[in-house]
Amino acid sequence: MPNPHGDTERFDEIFRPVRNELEGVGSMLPQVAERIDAVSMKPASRRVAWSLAACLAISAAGALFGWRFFHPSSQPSRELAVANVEQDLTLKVGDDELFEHFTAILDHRFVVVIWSYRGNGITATPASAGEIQTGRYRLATLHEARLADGRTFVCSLLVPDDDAKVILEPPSIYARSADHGIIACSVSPRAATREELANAIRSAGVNGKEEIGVEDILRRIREQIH
Amino acid sequence: MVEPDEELVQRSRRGDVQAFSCLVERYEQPAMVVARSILRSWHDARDAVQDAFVVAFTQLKRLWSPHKFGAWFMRIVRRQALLHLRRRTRRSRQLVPLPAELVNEPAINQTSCGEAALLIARLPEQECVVVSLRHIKELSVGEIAGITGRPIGTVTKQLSRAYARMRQWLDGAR
Repeated sequence: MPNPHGDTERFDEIFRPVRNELEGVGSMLPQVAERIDAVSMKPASRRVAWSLAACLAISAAGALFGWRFFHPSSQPSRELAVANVEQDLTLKVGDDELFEHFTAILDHRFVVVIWSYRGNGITATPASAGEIQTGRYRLATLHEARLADGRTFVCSLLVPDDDAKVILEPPSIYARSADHGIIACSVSPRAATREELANAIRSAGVNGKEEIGVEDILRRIREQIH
Repeated sequence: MVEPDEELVQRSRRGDVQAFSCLVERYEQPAMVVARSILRSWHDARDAVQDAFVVAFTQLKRLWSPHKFGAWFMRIVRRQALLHLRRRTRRSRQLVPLPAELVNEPAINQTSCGEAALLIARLPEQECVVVSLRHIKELSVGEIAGITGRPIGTVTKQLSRAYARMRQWLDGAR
């Protein structure tokens, strides 16, 4: 059984050279303290840098948000909205063009479409053709007029079949083209006021002797129905 | 009355630099012995131990058992010493070898000091801390118990186990 006190003395003696050499090495406390000071500054400065970066990012995002929403010239979506005000939907097939200006539901049932077309040898159903069946609708051309810019203005009335649902089964307008056959365009009817219908007729370019008013349309609708 | 490691660690975590200075003063010499056994140079050992203290300070919040600071720190010291050794080996490969007469430096107690340092460094961390505090810092068993937060009996047992190991190594070397 080894004597613990003997061990202590023995190892004290063994480690004496180490202790002696260590005495000459000196303390490293000043150097460690200096390095720790430098290190402990780093996280703080990093935090400051991150905070600054976050503030800048938030400010930039806020400025961009404000600029996009409050600066009129920076709103491409606003320009699109202006285009929508005109209610024009253009369908181009080669040189042939078909414009839907306005589509309204009248009396919860009858669909009036203000539209026009332009192209080589393109024609729509003439007013003289009377009422013809197209799908789930009976189509009648209420008014037709040649405009100065080469377009042909058309006001069509579409009367749905008794079991047809206008919103779920929207009607189509179509024209026959010499080059491309039938060009059809599905329309999206919506409820509209008299003023809106009048504006749509004006914006379609109808004026002068070709002018047709809302009252004319309503009268012709009544004639057509009865 | 010595302040336990646990309290010094807790104070250091709260940013008390003075408390960490106490830990540096307490462990710098044991750490130097461990680092020297790996690097075989006091100069390199000093650099490695400085790095180890900086690493320990930055990672102090990751130490789950503050009363085990000594053993935890010795692990850091070993890792840092090995990193320095690797760096030094890489560097020495790029150097032109010096003439033989300059390489043979007049070392006093070179072998015995190196062997003694190696004895401590080979011990498990807990025993390494206890032996180095006892024989390098020349603290009493009671003081070591106060520092490590263990009962005196436990410290005595650890010392006995460490002595037995070292005796075996010394006897085996002969």
